[in-house]
Amino acid sequence: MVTLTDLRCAYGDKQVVDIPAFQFEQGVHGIVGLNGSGKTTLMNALYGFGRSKGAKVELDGSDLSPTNTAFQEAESYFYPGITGREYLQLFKRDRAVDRQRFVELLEVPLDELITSYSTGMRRKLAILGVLHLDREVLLFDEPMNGLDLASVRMLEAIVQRLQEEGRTVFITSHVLGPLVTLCKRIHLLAGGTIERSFERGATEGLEQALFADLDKRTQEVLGRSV
Amino acid sequence: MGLSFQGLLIHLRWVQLRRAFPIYGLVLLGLAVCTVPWLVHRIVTIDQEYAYYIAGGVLLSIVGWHQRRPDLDFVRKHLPFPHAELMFEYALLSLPVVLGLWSMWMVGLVLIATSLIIPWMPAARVSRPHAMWLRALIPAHLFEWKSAVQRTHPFTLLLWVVALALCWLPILPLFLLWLIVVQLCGMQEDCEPRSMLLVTTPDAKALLRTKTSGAVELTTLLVLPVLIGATIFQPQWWWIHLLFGLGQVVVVAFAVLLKYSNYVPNERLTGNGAVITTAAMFSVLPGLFVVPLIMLLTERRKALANLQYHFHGHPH
Repeated sequence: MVTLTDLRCAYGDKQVVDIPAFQFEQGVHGIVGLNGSGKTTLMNALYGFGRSKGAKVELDGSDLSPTNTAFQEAESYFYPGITGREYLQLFKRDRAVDRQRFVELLEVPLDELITSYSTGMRRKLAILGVLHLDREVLLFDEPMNGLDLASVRMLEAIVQRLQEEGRTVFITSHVLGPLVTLCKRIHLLAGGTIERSFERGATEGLEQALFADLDKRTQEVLGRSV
Repeated sequence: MGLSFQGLLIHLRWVQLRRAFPIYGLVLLGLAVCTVPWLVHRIVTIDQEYAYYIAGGVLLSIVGWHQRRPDLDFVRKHLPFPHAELMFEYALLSLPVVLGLWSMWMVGLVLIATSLIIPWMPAARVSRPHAMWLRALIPAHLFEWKSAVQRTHPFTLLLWVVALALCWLPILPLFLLWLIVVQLCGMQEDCEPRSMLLVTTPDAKALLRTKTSGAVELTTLLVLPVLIGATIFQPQWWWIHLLFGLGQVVVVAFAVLLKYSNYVPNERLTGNGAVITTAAMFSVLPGLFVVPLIMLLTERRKALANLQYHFHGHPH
């Protein structure tokens, strides 16, 4: 179980995340929210970065950090001049798990230079890197950006496998469909706090909650609803 | 109104240098450049045949730079007189050596004339992986070196083979090794993403230790065969070869530390190139070998402090 206590993150004077207390059970968790709601900052804080003094993020009592967490960041940047296979070799060195089946499934051309990859291929390679690390908690920030529909489907199967392995997975996304089927719970982040959580099978109010303020504002600005 | 040639590229280089160096750094760089003509003249005075090797080495370096420069497409597309800009830059690069060749003015003339033709040479842009057999020998955590092979192959390998084949000659093999080391150090300008940094080792100290020791091992493997060959043919210069080898190892280790003292995820540290080149020049100047060693020692603490921040999200 991942426990947050007094988790605050700020950029200068601006408070971006403010969660006094929260618990995530083992399983797959979706984090949704509009742009600027603090999703990426929360993921960074779960990874061990940008927490304010006194904040605690623990996995069954031990601090959550890169030693027990793997993070696929939203920006897929890679070192220039290396191949996909050379990139993955780095992730296979320490406490790695055999992910050959995932590699085969995602069909990344590992012997080509990463600079020649499409956006989707780069995203898949970043995901594969994270999957090779044997960590209890896996963080995926916008993993579906740039992926085609088939790859999204494969990612769903991979995340289900991770859940069966007993790992805790956090996924942020603007694509609600896959999250609704995959996640044990979906958490709505607004203004840096977890405003509401939706259990699997009870996500009817998710879209309305997500767009409540937006619809009101659109009505005010354009004089009509979307 | 017609456009006139303004030396924009040189102006940009000057701006880059001013950003990369404090005033004393610029003065030191200026002094280092000023010693080149004297050094070349001294070498040519010992034996006039060295003039041909030096000129050939400089030409090879300029061709290599032309083939690999990342801004070539930009210069060709956006500057009003791209060939003139490149000619001006290459002429300035070869000028210190040309001045040192005044007693062999014909060689100097050929050198500068040839460097003026290079801007018209087409640059190869290849997107497939190079020398996989060589890269497979490099450990995964030294991915900068794999990238270096990709970006300098076959130029660097060719230089190394020539250095080994001509190790019976004095000076030239050392000069070629020096060119290779400068090229490889230049590859320490790119910063890896945070995910690659954190997965390499569990903490900052271990990362610096792993990266510098790996770089030292690879550099030793690179320079040792040529230096052993050179010492067999010139046994009386064993101490020069030893100091040179140590100097190159120190410069490479310094390049690694400099990268991590300025490390910002996903950034290219363009300013580092000039500092590394200066350290590399000091490593071969008589009596100044100790300068890069001092630079190395002072840089470690800075690198550690910067990495602590990136490993822990705060100074540790």
